[in-house]
Amino acid sequence: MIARLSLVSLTITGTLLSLAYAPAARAQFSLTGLERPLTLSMTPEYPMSGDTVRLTVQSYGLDLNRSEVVWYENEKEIARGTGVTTASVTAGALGSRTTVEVVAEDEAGLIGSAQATIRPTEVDLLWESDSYVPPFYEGRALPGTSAIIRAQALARFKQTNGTLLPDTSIIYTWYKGNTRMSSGRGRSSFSFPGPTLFGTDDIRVVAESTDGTLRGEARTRIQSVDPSLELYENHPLFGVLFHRALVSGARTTETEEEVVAFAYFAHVESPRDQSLTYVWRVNDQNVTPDPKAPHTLLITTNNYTGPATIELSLTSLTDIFLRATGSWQLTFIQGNATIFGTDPFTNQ
Amino acid sequence: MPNERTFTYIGFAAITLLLFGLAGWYFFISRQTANIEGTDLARGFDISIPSFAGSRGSTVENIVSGFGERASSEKKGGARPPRLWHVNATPIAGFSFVPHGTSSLVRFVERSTGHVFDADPEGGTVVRRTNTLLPKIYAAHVQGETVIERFLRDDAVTTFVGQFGTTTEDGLLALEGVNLGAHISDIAFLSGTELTFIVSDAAGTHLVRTKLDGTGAKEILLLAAGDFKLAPLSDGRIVLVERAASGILGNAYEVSISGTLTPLMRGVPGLTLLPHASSEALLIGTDSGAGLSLAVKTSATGTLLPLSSTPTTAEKCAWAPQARSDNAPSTTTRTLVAYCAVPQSPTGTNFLDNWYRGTVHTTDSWYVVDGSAGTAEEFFAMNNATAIDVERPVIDKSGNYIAFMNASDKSLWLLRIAE
Repeated sequence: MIARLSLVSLTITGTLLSLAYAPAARAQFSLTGLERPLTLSMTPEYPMSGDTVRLTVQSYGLDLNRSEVVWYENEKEIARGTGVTTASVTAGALGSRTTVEVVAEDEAGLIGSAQATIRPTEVDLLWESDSYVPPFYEGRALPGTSAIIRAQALARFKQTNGTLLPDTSIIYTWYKGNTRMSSGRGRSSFSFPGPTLFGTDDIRVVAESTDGTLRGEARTRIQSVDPSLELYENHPLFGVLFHRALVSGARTTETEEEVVAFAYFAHVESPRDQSLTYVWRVNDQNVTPDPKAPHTLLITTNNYTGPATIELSLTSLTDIFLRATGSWQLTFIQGNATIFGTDPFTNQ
Repeated sequence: MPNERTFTYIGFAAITLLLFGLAGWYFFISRQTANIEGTDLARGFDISIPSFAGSRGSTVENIVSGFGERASSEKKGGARPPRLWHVNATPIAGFSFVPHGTSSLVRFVERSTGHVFDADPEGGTVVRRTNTLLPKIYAAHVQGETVIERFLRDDAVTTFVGQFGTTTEDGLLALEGVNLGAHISDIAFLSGTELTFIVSDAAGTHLVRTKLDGTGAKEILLLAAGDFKLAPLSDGRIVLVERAASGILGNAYEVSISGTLTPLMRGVPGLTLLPHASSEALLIGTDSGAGLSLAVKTSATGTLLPLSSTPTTAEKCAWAPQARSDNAPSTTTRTLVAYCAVPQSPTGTNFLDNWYRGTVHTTDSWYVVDGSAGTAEEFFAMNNATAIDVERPVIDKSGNYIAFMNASDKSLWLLRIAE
């Protein structure tokens, strides 16, 4: 799972100014001694490019409900009125710098101002797990038991000259929950153990330019999934029919079927992994699998027609949390005599 | 002469033993032959191909009667096929349109043999083109006379890139090419002379471009992590889409030749994406886990227009060529047209996960999407005896045909857009 948050470089200053607009001031200074501090906050806290950013001003020193409040965006007035404590602006494109300033004056002539600079950045958090999925599976390999997660942060910190800041100029700090896992300049990737069974991990990466002017953050929530089994027919001409899993109630006219089991999201490299133990049962009788391909089961009917219940249990010697089970009913609807093999249904 | 008598006895005994041995060997061989024949018979070499049928949709009724006829028994054709033509009933691995005079042919790869066939949408003929046997091809890509065939060797996915040879044998061509080896997780044609593919190893995910013969490989991008697949584009652009899972946020990027990633969509649950080949337009599918939805975006800065009447995945859609905008049933002029197969019954929860696993299949109808207006209307209901779960639809350059595979049996279908 990948999540991203866009963050802005935010600078807020509380200043005392005359009500007439003054250029943005970064350091607090005093003109008359009558200044009152203003606090400027915005939602979303880390807006993306194009987001509508809602800014709210608060003050303990001024009664803003009775104050004349003026809002400026890049030195252009965008709102004015008594008690106008909120304003909205649209975050610019990547690399842009939007300065928002609010100035307030109460009935007694006390004044204050605050300023924020919005510099949108983008950070994506990509991740993948080393869980097993069958060949040609089109979907994502989700973390099962004992999975290792590899994560990659993609930060797009666009400078005012239009170029993207290279990874080597960005400090990445990785968190799992509130625990800092790793940090370093250019450390845009990180590997770590996945969530425990049925658990969820909140992963966060904070990216900051080395000069501190650009910051970004991305978060994702990675949830563990329970490995599960699917059975597929292994056809002599077409191979494993991955496009149609064996589902309960399936029927076949064949006298011999080879089915193959695949454990989705198990922490193995191959279904033939030596650490895996497959226990097959057909109609409540144990069937010894081929040791070279323990994930396959060959069923020969020997004139049998009717349902066959296939049960499979999968455990691992190296992963104590892996225990996947499945049960399928396969009905042989026509019985053609075969001349070889044993009958797993009657144990003959 | 005791010695002579002894030799006589020994001679008779030896001859008797030899005869018994030969007789035993004969019966042993006969029994083995019977076993082999029986095995062959049971494995479907001489009887109908086995099939499952069930209630969860993965085994739709059309498979009950088997996979149908093999394409290698070529169809004579002669008459114009029906508007919805079941080109090949047995599983195929992949296909594409190839130009043929003023029209197009559907060139496809048979799954069981890896042989390449051409189907004529107008004449109804199916002609085999190659004789290079590559059994059990799970996935294939076709571009002109170049074919990518992917199969399993020692449980590893192996990729072969072949081109039609120059000499014929009984009218058939050999596929001559190279094996690109294992560990390629996805591959696509980049242009007429190049490929691009994704390889994953301990170092991470590599995006590589190479010539068709595998030479001149050049790494475009290396990421420490990223479970991507390639979105096919005919204009030379490379688009990476994170592999989708129901409810899991996904991203998609366009990759420049220098390896710069430009985001196309970010943080979309169950993201599937279909980029337009000659514009910035995108079809965006989402699977929240609770259901599907589809939207269209006509430009990089444009807004997302939801297509509420077509809850489907972008992988069931195909953009029509720009030049052809008059095929739609409506008389409205359209500039950005896509055709999407839309499931006709609720897909349930976690559809993408289940669909990719082959545990669910859908029965689809075709809708035409007006990308500019953000609207969609039903175009063709596939009231067929068989349920068709569309996957990998492709429209030919003239905009006359949609070819697609049925995900439930991997058979090949062709729909004539304008009747």
